[in-house]
Amino acid sequence: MILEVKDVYTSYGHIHALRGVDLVINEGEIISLIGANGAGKSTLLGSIAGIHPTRKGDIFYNGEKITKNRPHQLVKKGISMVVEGRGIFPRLSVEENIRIGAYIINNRQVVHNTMDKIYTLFPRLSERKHQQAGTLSGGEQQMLAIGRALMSQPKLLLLDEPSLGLAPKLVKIIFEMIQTINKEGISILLIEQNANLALSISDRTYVLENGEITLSGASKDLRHHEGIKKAYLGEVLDNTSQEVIQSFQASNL
Amino acid sequence: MMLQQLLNGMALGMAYALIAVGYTLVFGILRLVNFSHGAVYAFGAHMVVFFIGMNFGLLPAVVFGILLSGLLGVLIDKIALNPLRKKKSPNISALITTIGVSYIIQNLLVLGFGSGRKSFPKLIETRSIMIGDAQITNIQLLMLVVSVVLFLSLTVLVKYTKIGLAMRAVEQHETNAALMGIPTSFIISFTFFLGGLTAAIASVLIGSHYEIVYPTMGMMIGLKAFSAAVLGGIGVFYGSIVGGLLIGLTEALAATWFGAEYRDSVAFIVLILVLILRPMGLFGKKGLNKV
Repeated sequence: MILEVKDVYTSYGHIHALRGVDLVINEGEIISLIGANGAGKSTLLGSIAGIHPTRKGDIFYNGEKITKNRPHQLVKKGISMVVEGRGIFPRLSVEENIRIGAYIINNRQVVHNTMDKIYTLFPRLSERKHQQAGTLSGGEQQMLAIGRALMSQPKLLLLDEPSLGLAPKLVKIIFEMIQTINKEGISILLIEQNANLALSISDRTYVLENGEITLSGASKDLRHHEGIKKAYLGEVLDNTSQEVIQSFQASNL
Repeated sequence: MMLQQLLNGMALGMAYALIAVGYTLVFGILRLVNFSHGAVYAFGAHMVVFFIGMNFGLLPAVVFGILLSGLLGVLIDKIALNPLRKKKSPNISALITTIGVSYIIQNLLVLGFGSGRKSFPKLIETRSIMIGDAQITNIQLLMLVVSVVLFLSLTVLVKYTKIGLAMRAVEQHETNAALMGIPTSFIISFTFFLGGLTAAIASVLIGSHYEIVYPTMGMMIGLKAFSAAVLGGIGVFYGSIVGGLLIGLTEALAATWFGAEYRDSVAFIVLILVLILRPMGLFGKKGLNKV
């Protein structure tokens, strides 16, 4: 068990965003988190990463209580987060953005090697390394955000809607990347609007509604769950998305 | 005569630039105009006088005075500004707070040292250097050299070091910077420390040029340096240098052409004119919106 969220409550002022959330991530798993807008998905990720302090409950990372840790301390422990909307620094160059991801690593050689790895993973970023990050396209920014998050050599990666605003082809690239990253031993907690996609890429899925987990289980079982089908799998998909989903389902059987 | 005024203006301008860089540093990171800067400037000079009175010797006194001013910068942030940031209060509250802090520091200086003028020791034996028929003192030259060195080091620090990169990241988005593993409170404290340092370095140089210090010494010069920072485009280092030089030179020239009593207003007239034509200052960038 790399992460354990235990009965967590988080609120903004009078709004109770999370109301007793329990969630577990085992080492090496991809977990997806689905739910409607405003269900509290981003808040949960933020609470794990230390940017939304919890009001009640505890969070454990590798058995250690991290509830009151500050975000930068959690990065040092191995938790890295990609926020919704990517959160890149638009007025830093692509390379500076990547470099800042390695802020906690003091060994220059390690930084250099990790950077090479990121550039191999995302050749687009290497081509554009001297460009201001704000000038990148949405897909490139998402690659940058993920690549940057890997620079701190995390054990747990939190991804908040990496597919947001991307064309289906790019979504495919990004999701294949997520699988590659996961195969290197990095556990992943993923928020994904597209429930089909979420269920096909992940080992297990949690459904969050009004700040509470209402359903959870193995993703391949949830794909046939009546409630899920009704509430989240209704949407009509274009061909590329369907193709993406089928390829993931095939590889996850 | 003209050359003499240009030299005077340049020396004065570099002094403004030195102080302006402190405004620009803090504004560049926090989007906050730190009006306590002028008071920290006065504090630095008084600390040097104090340590010399305690028989520390000139050099240690100067070093301690400058370091203490840096710490005062950190203290101001920790006590007065950080709590406001934590409560996400609007920037205007922080701005008013810095004005308040500025008066508190000045009053404490009056309490500790009296409100009168005290003589400030010469850093080096004054010598005049003739350039044609104009003269410049070696202290004025020192001011120039120190300013240039300071600007270069700050530019290198911000552009090419890890902590500088972290400062720029914090400027663009504090939470996202924290998610990169950057200890943002430390980076902000460090920025205030640098701000305090530069204020004290400026006051030591200017103090030894005029050879006097007093608690309100930072008021007028602080305001002009702020104008210099805004004129050059606040948040941009070289903007502060150009802004400082421009205000210093116009002041010196105005003093010769219209008489010394108009020098202060001319500096501000230049500021207002430039801002009407270019609201972001000469080199300021229009805020690039977050993507």
